[in-house]
Amino acid sequence: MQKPSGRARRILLPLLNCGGIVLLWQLAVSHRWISPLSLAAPFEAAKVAVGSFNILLPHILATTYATLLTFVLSSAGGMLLGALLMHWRTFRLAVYPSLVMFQLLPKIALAPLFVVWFGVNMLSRLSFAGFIAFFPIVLATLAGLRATDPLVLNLCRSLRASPAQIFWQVRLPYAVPLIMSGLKVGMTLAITGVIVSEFVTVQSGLGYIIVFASSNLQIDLMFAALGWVSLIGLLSYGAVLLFERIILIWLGAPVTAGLSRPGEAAP
Amino acid sequence: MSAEAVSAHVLPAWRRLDDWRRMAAGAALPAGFILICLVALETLARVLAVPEVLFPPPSRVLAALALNASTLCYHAALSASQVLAALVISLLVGVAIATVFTLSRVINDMFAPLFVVLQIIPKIALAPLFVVWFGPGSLSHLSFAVCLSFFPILAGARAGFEETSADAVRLCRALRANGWQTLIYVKLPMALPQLFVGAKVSTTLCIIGVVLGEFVSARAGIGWYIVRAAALSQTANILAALAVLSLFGLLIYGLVAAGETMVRRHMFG
Repeated sequence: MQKPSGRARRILLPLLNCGGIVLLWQLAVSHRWISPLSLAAPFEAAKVAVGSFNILLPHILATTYATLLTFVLSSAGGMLLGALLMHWRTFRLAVYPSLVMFQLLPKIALAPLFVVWFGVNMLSRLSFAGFIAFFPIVLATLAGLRATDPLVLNLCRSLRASPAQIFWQVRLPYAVPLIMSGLKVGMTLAITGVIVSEFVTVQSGLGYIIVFASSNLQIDLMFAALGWVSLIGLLSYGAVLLFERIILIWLGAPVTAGLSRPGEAAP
Repeated sequence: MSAEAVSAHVLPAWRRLDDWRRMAAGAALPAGFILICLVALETLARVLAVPEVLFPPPSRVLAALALNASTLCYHAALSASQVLAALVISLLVGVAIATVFTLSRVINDMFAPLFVVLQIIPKIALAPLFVVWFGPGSLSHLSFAVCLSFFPILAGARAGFEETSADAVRLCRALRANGWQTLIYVKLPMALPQLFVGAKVSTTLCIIGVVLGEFVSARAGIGWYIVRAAALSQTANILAALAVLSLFGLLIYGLVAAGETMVRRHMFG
């Protein structure tokens, strides 16, 4: 499809471009074209990110831990509820519109309420982030489980497959791409929720460092924390992508990389 | 499913009442569920005598809503105008960047991977930075909301441009249409469905951006109202503000979805 030179170009060009942008940024700040109070020089920020690693480490660990725990809990709960909704028709009909509505609402606005309910602690952050990440996973699981080819289901029934067999061997494998898409959204929303509730609870985590640094106008510390947040975001998303790839290869399904779908943009 | 569709066409008008009845039955279950939840919350809050700071019963929230209606409307209107402005700006920015990407291969190869990475990064962490840049006014909320919400539109527009059938583009070339003509008369209309998919995602992101910007620093707006109510422990007021915000969110989403339906009907019959 792509010529070898085209492939090299597609990898080299963005890297060169990135390097150019970083260099220009560094020059702009160090020559005071841009005030260092509004933009930290990338090398200075990197120096702080590595140099104050000892101070940042507990906050990095707190954010990572909260993100991963949120993701695991909300994806387990979301997939369970999705499966339940598929099996129980009346419940689905009653709840589905509410679920879609909750999916559309700007739930971020609830962050202060969770502080009122749970206080300033890890539980408050986990429950808020879980609340944010939960809905797309439920809806994606439900959509995936209901998207099975009806012809295949008919075949299963005529072969006298038990409902359990149909679920585990037909419906679930068919649902994998949609569930994975939901999990990707869930992962980005988990870290988003954690950061926002760290903004609001102002106790620990990288979100706390960002707010703290911005109120002290320590811009290089702020950029260092932003760099760590971006790294955690990219790695956690990459982990879900890797997981998707492994599952798809294990199932012998065609591996499709859908990176830039609109719904998967992280806020 | 198909049998129902056929019957709707063949049957006389009065028999189509059945469809209405079925729709009403379909709406009754979800509405009943919400109603039961509200009644349960009300009775639970009253019977267990939960402190109102922790959990005000729905009737108290309704009372707070009625009491503060004018204040809430003022703040909501302020935020709503910013959300709408952010949506329009991010539509323009997203489509413009996607257009540059389709017109130039080199720029596409240089910048597209960068945007994919930026799309995954939790940009919400940038909120305090925008305050440092633009101060606590509405400019910072607006620019932050645009920064969050143009990505889905960009992704949608790019997907739409890529989906344009190669035959149509080849026909344009054969008819000696230049790049701009192909873009405006063929690619852009064909990208509209995907663009709307992106726009629906980004309406929610616009609201999130504006409200979070107001959380971080503001002097007015619905986000500021929520934070102030939380600081004063007026939980009923928080929930009332959330109700207004949700209503507005569903309204603007409904507007975009209605636009999508109209365009689809216009394009695909």
